[in-house]
Amino acid sequence: MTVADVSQWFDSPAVMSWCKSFSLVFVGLFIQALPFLLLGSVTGVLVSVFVPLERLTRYFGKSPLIASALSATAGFIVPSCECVAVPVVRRLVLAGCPSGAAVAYLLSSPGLNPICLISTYSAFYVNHPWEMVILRAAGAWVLAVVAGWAIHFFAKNSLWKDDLVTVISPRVQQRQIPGVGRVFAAVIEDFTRVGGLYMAGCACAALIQTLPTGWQVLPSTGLSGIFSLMVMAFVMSLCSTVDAFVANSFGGFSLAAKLAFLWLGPVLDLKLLVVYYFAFRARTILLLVFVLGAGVFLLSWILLLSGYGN
Amino acid sequence: MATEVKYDWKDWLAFLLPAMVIGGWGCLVLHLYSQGKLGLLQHPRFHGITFGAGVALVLLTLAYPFVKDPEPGQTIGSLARELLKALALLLPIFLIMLFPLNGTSGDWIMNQSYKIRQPPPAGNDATPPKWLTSTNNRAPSTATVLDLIAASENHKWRGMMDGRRVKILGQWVPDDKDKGMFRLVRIFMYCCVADASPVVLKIRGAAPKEPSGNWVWVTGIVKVGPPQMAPVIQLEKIESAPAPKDIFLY
Repeated sequence: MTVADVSQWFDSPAVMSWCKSFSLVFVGLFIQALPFLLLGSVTGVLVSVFVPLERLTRYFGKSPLIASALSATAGFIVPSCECVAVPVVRRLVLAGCPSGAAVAYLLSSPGLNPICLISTYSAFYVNHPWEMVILRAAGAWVLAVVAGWAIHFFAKNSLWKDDLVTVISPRVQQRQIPGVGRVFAAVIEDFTRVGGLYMAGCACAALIQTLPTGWQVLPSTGLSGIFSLMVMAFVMSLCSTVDAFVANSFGGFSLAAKLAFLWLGPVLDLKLLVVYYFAFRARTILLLVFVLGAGVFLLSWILLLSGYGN
Repeated sequence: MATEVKYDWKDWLAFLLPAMVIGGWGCLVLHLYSQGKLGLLQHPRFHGITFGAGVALVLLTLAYPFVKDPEPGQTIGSLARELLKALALLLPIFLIMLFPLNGTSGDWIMNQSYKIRQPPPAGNDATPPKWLTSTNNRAPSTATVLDLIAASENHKWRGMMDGRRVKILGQWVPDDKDKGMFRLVRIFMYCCVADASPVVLKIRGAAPKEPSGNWVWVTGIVKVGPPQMAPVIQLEKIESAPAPKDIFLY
């Protein structure tokens, strides 16, 4: 293939038309999510710098089961997105929080945080906004509590990697020194990092939307539709503050499948697997993958059977 | 005694790259806003918050040199990695420069046609829309594709539509099932361009000669079939039209 062949291929109307369509959808998704990404970064940094998490753990009590439920609820009160949650969770554990409860917070905060819920409402503005917000929040809470209990019963003594401190220490060190300058620097750092990951997700979504076969090749009905969007959530690795916009763009899929996308993405995807790899031991990761995967599938299935999620 | 850290050009360049990225994103948003192109990407209710984010990004860029210091000891390898990362993050800007935003093509519409949705309800029986109440049937009533489809959901209005002469603006695309017909399409946006879906009206008559996706005015007679079937327009006249200011329906 010569340079002239490549140039001719690029100049063909079909390829040009596809490039324009890809550009339109890609930039549209990116611009739509930009304000929510920024809000998410600012909130996450402010929480990890200024909120006294050590004081919060005193209210969790001695029962690990109740502690999981309470710390999962704290995901709403002390919001942080999935990318900044690990440093926050480490602070919780160092402050004496039970491991199961710390994991419950880690898993609930991305799906329960107010920015995520506001963006979910905005994305589904025309199509059942309040139902989607309530179901998303309820599902995220249930999954977090169940995963917290599973960790307590099966992996509480082998949760963290020994070198966790060295892995995340620089970021935590930076954030433990309050100050406007440090906050600004952390927001910029967070925003460009999360923005890069989100951009990869946008490219993936735009590619699937604009290819001639598109996601029509994915089964979209019943249980297979749920499974399709769970796989998409895992691969696309979107930020929880913006994933609702992408979920709403999946035309032809059931509400249950879209909720499966919204439940799974914030707690288990490719980028989080990398984060978990650096933070948790292999046994913990396997347990989380099983509990979260099965939990999301089961919740969506129940919703589908109820007839509401069709 | 504190030793003074010396930075070379590689340290400074690596230091400035993140600021270039967020500044670039901020300028892109403000450029699209000032050019009135945000409407091609998202629903107008989001324009304010997006503009605010653009301003915030530009302010963050200006604050950046005052809140962060360069990291000394950058190598050519580490600088190249940072440069590649920054170029990848600037992809939206490169795409807008290469493929300026100018609407939706016929291919894009055809590719979205599997997610055709029902438009929102048209209203109540008591107040039929103005285009349905005109008594002069010689002069066509101007309506949108959305008006026709939405009104056809109302049993009473279906009867009022039948035989009415209408003039409708839309993008034409071929009908892949019936050669004697073509489709007139408007794109309805719920939130952003990624969820935009076509609202389609079938036109019985010869398809236009111009490329698929072009804007046309169609004048014809509404034919209402059995319930559950969308109305069809019997073509009388077709004219080329410039794209309207708002190419999407919201």
